[in-house]
Amino acid sequence: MAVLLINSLVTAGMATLLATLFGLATGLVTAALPGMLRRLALVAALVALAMPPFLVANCWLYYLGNVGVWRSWLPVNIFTIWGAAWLLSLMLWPISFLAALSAWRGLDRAHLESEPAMRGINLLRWLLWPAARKSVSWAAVLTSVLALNQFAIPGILQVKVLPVEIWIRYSTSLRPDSALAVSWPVIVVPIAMLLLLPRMDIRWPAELGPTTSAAMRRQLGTALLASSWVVAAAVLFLSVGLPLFQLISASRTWAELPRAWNAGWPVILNSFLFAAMAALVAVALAVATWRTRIGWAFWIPFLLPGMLVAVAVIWLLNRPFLEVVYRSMAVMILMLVLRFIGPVWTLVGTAFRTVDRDLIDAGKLEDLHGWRLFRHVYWPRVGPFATVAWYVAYVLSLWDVETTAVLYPPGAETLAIRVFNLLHYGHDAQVNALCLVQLGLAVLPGCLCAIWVSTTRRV
Amino acid sequence: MLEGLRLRLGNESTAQILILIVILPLILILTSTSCTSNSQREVVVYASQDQVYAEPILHEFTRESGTKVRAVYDSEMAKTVTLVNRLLAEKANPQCDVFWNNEELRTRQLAARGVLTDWAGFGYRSRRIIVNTNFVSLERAPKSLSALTNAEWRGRVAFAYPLFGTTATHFLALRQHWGPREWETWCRALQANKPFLVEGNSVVVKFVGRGEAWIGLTDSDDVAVGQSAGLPIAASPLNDESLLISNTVGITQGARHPEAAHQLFNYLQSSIVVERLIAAHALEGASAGGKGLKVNWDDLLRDLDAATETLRNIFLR
Repeated sequence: MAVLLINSLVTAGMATLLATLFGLATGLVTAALPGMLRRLALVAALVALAMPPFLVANCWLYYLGNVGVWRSWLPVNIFTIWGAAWLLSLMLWPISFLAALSAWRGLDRAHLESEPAMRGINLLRWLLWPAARKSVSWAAVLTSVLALNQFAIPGILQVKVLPVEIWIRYSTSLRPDSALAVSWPVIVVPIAMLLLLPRMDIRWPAELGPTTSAAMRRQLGTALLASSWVVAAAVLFLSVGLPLFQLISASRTWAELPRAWNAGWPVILNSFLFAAMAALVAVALAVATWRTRIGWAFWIPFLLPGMLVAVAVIWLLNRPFLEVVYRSMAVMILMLVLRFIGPVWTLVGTAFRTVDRDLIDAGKLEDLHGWRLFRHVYWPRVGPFATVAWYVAYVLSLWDVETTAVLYPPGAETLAIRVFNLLHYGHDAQVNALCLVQLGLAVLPGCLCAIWVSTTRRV
Repeated sequence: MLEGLRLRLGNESTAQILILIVILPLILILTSTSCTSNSQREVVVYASQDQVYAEPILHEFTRESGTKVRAVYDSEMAKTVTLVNRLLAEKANPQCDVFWNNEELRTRQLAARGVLTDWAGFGYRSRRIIVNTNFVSLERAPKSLSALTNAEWRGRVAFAYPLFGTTATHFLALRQHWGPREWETWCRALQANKPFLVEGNSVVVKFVGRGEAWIGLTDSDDVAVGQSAGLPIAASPLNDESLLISNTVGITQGARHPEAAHQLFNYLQSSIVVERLIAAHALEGASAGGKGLKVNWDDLLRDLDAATETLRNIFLR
């Protein structure tokens, strides 16, 4: 087991390091972009985050597998820890990217131009990195937790990691306690990281207008900006462009799309509703409980192997007086809330804790209390981060199979479950068509939000 | 009075209460949309048989009998284990009436643990050696599984992790066939020959079809899917080392719809269903006529833990 643990830690560590570097470079470039281009970069990052693991793995096996189309001129062996770390970093870099970008949105032009000599690498060293350090550290922890628990990518690439051992124990012994007994490293290590990190600061976003992005471009300098551009372009191409190209260039994918939609629209609706409502309930619970210390316990269901959490829920809810919940669609939403409330609680709670006390006092002086204080003082500050937390929970819920496949009631099948069922049959075109739909669901909230924002601004 | 209430509740409590007031009705609405009911004209099926094959058959049963079927399917990721573990977890308060499995070992394990009352096997598919015909002709292909340890196939063989699914059952049956010592020697030699250990039998077919591996060990229904997709693969014929895998169907202990469960139990074993599964290549035939490995299932179940531990030590280190 020691070997498996070391493999897991090394793979997760390298993936986190690469993902953080990619996220920082892409964040630098994005912060220096004007409005529309910056929004496009954000959409691309969200697509990368929403990309399913098997799609990414199959894409890279097509190019760099033993008979990959690139092997003749790029003889790289992808079936290694490095290969697994590379693929994981291409999936998880948007987390650091979003953390860095949100931190830098708190800067304005005066910060950037306060010292004329603070340009290029000095700007990065004395202003940008200190401003983003805490939030990027938290993003790195989240990235490493997700990488540590990933077994699909390492499994496909023949890398022996601890989550595979957990899955095997669960599958062969039919005893969840046996699997739980070997799960302790993937729980203890991330909790230790979470406890050792300093409290996260939320930088309230200033209006990153054209003057600020122009000032950012000027102060970053040509050398740093150009090198960041090279890294960012490569990351976007390799993490989004290549898999999407493979997905949409196959004509059979589009031929199967109408049939997949007609046959699967109840499943598509299930996916959207479960993910959206679970994310909403998670945010609401986080808002209601952000003051409580016990909220740290919410991370445990996120860190545990999903199938064990599902077995625990079955044990809890499969009782005659709770059947009304267990046999209904509510069990899916409760399962997803339990699974993903940890990160949501941390993000929302941190946002609440860093609301300026002076603002709260000023609100109270204006006779604002209760709901009016929440609406006029807290929510304008916390709202954007609650929205981000909602979206993170939404995307994670969309792709969850590990927990929902264990206890979904008849009629509550989701797209993710159907895709994994279809994978067995080699119906790649149908799988690709459903993946397109799933990616569409992932970016749908962002598109709706963008339309709403632009409509309200026009009004 | 309202002012006093607001002051007593504090600044954020009002928001918290309002949020809970919004969320609770949502949950109540959702729980009222129950996915199952206690109607006697329905039956709940947990099906590890592939959804593509099982769904049309269950629809046909509904059309003929008027009994509604509510089905939960397994996924390739889980290889039957998800539903098996779910049945075990729900044993105290069963939700399922009928368990339809596309293999035999897990059904026997469930029966041994008192989860199933009656169960039966029908039809068969088999474990086969497959080759990529662009690299290896069927004539040159290994005729015996012991030949997979030969140096000429080093780094060219693919099979699913032999710790679950039909691959595990096949390896355990080989242990009975060859004896523990010879079997363990073979396993170690196989692992030393640097095989591709992949997630599932369908992935084996893809690996071999792409040429990542030249030889694979997989199930006959996965071979059929790969061939229909145009992959350059061929399967070796049945021999004494091929494991025959029956479909199995069982009625759960404490089934809520026992009459409907028995109706479906009998329907799935009918010749019509077997012929449909054969036509869809989910099964090879109704009976193999004595070919394949001879398995003593009671002994296999008895030795399951020890043999699995050996497999884990060899293939996961």
